[in-house]
Amino acid sequence: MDQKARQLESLYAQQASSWVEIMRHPSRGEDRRFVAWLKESPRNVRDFLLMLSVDHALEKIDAARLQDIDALLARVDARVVPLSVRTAAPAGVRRFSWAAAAAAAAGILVATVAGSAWFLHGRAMWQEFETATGEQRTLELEDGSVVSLNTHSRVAIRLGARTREVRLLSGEALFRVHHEADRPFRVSTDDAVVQAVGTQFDVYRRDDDTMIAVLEGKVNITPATPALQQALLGGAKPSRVSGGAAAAPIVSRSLGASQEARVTHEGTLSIREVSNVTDTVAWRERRLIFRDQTLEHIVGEFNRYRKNPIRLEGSGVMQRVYTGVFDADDADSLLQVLARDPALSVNESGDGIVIRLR
Amino acid sequence: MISGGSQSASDLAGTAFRDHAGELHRFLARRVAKAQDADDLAQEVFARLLRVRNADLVRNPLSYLLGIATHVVREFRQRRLHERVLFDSDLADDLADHTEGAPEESFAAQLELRERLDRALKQLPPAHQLVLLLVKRDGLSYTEAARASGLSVHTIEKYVVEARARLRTILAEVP
Repeated sequence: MDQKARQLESLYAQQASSWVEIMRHPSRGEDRRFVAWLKESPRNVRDFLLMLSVDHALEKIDAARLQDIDALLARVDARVVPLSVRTAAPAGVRRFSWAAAAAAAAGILVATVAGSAWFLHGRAMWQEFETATGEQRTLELEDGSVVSLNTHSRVAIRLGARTREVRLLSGEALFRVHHEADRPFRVSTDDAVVQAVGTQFDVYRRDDDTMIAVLEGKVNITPATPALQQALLGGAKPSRVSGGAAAAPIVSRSLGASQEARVTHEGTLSIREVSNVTDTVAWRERRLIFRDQTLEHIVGEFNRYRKNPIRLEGSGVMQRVYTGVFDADDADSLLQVLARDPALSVNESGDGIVIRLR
Repeated sequence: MISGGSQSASDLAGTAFRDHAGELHRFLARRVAKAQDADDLAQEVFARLLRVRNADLVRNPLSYLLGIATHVVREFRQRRLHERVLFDSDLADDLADHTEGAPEESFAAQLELRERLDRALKQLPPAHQLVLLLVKRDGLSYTEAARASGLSVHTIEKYVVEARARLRTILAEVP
């Protein structure tokens, strides 16, 4: 196992262990969060079950009573914090600190004071997180914001002293931003920069454009020009982003709840009202909801979760329109619906599933 | 099983393990080191969890989870009983577990896990060792453990979480 894999293992273990602890006396809200966490990924289910098993076995630890409490007490000075426990955080349980946990996993002692100085000096580093095909994962950031990654997605995150930056490198993520008036939270793709104060919104980076949907609150969207990207990467002040610098006027538009924006590679920005914005984030429950969508779009969405893509052959088949609610993990449900359509043929061949017009 | 009541959910989970999920526990005990092997189980449990109504699940998450997992383990075993043609060591162990005539074997995995935990325990910082021994071996409450060690209750809880996570990581690294 390389260093990075080991750090990750350690993070997952810490998270699972925290849940075992929380579930000793869960409040109703914690029950709900626990269920949401379990539903994120089979990996969480696995880690929790294994951790519960370890916890169970721990009841019989040192059954022969070879270890002497007094001898250990003598070695433990209550004022000295052991090297490995920086993750801890009260909140380590409730608010999981990825950066701190990663540091601890690497065996680095980051004192609290040093930790904040590290951020104050603006030398915060980019950290990347990604999900595999079919996997979903939720990150709780140090500032209290929560980032849920959909399948096959990658983000780079940097929490600096003046700004909180997220680069959505691929895929889709839902952001629940913790309000901090003087430290804006920005999400950027190649197409757009989305700036939030305290809100909940979804950003989906597609091949040709970026889609942004707001569930709560308000965000500002700026189509990304090379100059803007450059300014952001160089750590420009927030005012240059939303206000527009004199040299290159930048147009931003604000987007409110139940609105959806599309920003293309060319920098055009269009906004529309959506009556069912929660459909956009149904992916968090691994549901896919389509209302009068083309088969091309539907199959494209399914394929995000699949290792062996479903293929459509012939242009006629792509433009057929369907409505339905599906389980993202269960392509069979889609295929069953399609198989009932007399106009289509659904064939399983050696290298996957092919759909064409009869 | 009611969660959120005065009885601790860990006790409830523990009870569920002992009473209903012995098989699950034995199954997992052998897989603690090689988490990969638990993937199939997790995939199946996960898929079934998604089918449970969220409101029901939230009302009693642990008992649902353990119930489903136990069920899935049972199905794995059943399937394996029917697939005797293939041989692998895990399968042989599972079949041994399943044979009612050999109860000592059914505990082998758990005993092995405990021995390995004892070895791993010694690799933890003294404060972690101390807290685990006080809480898990000696059965002290967090308040009692805090009094015995001079640490705060909060620190005790923190160390339990960390120590358990580290043990799990150590077990995964030392086959």
